[in-house]
Amino acid sequence: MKLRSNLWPLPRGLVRAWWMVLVLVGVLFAPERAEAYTWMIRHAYNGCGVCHADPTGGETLTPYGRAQSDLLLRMRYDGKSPEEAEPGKASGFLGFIELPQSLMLGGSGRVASTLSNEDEGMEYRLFPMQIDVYGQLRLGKSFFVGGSVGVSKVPAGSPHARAAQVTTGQGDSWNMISRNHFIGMDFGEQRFTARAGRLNLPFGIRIPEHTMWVREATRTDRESDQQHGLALSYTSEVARGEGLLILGNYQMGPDEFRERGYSFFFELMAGSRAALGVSSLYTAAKRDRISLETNVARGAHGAFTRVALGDPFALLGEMNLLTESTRDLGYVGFLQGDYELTQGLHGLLTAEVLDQGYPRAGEIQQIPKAAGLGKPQFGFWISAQYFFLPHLDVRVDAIIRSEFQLLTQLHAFL
Amino acid sequence: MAIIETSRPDHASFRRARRVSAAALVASLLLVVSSPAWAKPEFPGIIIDELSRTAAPPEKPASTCIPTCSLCHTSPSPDLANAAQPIANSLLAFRSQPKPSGGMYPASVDPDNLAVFLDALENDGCLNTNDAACMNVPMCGPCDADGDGTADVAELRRDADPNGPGQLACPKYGCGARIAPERSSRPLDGTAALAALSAAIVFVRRWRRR
Repeated sequence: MKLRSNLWPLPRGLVRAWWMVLVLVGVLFAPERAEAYTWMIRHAYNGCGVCHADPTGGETLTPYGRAQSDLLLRMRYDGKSPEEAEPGKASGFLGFIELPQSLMLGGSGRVASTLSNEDEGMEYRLFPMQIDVYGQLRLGKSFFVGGSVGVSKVPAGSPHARAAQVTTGQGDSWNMISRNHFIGMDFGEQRFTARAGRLNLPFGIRIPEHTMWVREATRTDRESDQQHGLALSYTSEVARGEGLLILGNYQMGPDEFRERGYSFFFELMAGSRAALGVSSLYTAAKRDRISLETNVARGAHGAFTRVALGDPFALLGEMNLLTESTRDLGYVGFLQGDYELTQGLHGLLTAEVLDQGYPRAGEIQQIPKAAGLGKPQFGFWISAQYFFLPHLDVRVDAIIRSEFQLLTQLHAFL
Repeated sequence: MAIIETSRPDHASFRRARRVSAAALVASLLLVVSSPAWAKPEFPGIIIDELSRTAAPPEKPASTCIPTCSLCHTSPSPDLANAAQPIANSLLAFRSQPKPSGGMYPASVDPDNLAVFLDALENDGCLNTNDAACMNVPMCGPCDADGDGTADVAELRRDADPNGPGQLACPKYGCGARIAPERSSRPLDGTAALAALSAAIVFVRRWRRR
């Protein structure tokens, strides 16, 4: 590992200020994971493995991915088009470290605030966030190991972060987490990748909004819904897919709460800027860790699409049927349009729908049918995201569901 | 180590970049430091804390199980609209109703007054006329959502599920070891120290250049 000497293309004061922000965010412990931006299909990146170490997207960036994030993602101030520009020196790991070719490192930090219109009035919160660092080390031509480690602090009973805990604090103390850890190998001229470990579930569109109903209701987000298992992925220029044999989450217990089953997706490219795919998931557990119901078998099955309509506009859509042994048939879906007003500045509109299915014991328990529970529930997101510097972005979401919430995030990735 | 030449962008672009980044930096700091409070405890934590505070074994043991949001909510995205589990219906029925001891119950349930509602659920007559505690009796007893003869809060104290049969299951998270409890009551202490250190480094370097 060697430090690169360079002439900063930006003023030193600006760089210094940027590092202060980065460090502040780091100490505050921002959460979660780095982003996978599926609207990159507008740049004809219909697959994910070119920019990400994970062939199905997310977390660790390849050196090429880092360069593209500097050329295509952030706002440029030099007046050059991505075709004319060269990747900036600051696009490297920590902004200046040149890594060996066999090693990819990254990290993500986020601090967020919410302003919610709750029953008793407007309420402001600043979330305690976590830092994740992640990476992948290649061993020889085919084998690799990788994973992530971070910290989290969530309230007792929170459905978030817990499932990824390594330490055993059950209340609102700090805990070490590991969302992903795996060993793997590439074969078949690197079209196939086999992995074993704790992995993101291959299902649907890998969007960063983990609280979107389509990710929450199917429990397929990258926040803490990962499972231990065996995965096989395939990537080519016309198709890609991955299947995961779910063996359970061994970072929680007892065994009655562990879900076992499968999850997979398969996607066909329709040209360089459109893709259509299907997903399916099925798991069974003796007891569900969220609802606490016994002998629960749940599934999600549906289709998704990613389309670039001209250069600035990308459309993402996903719709799934929800099956659960304790509920009637349900469904969940979303449709999101992303418009890039100018490079680095995005406006997004999202519509989502959810009906989890009416509980089969609902009439006995006198649970009334309500939006999301036997009736459709609708939500809308009005969002803006600004990639204003290398490694930094801010995002604002106005989330309109049964209650209104304004979510603001400052994100830094290493 | 080689120095790589780069082309210098124009000054207008730099000024624009400075303004934008300065604004983003200020906004970020405001976002970070403006909130007067750390995240509020959510209801499950309040419930377990209250049951522990009011524990008086053997009649009123403390619960050992931190309930999940599904104790009251029928959705993984909990909000008031889906607070529809039987125990939640009973708890919400106390809103804006007169207390037996005089006065009124609060009009809404929030983290600051949840303990009042839990006390009502445990010690006052149930106000949810659909509850089993109000069936075929001249006066409602403490709420019993699943009608098994054991009142809801009494079931919580014994780690039983008040909404149905069986025990209130408690998943346990983590593989082992434990991080020491957080001791500081001011979560921004580390941030303030680091910010001060960073500022000090900047000022020292500028002073040396003079």
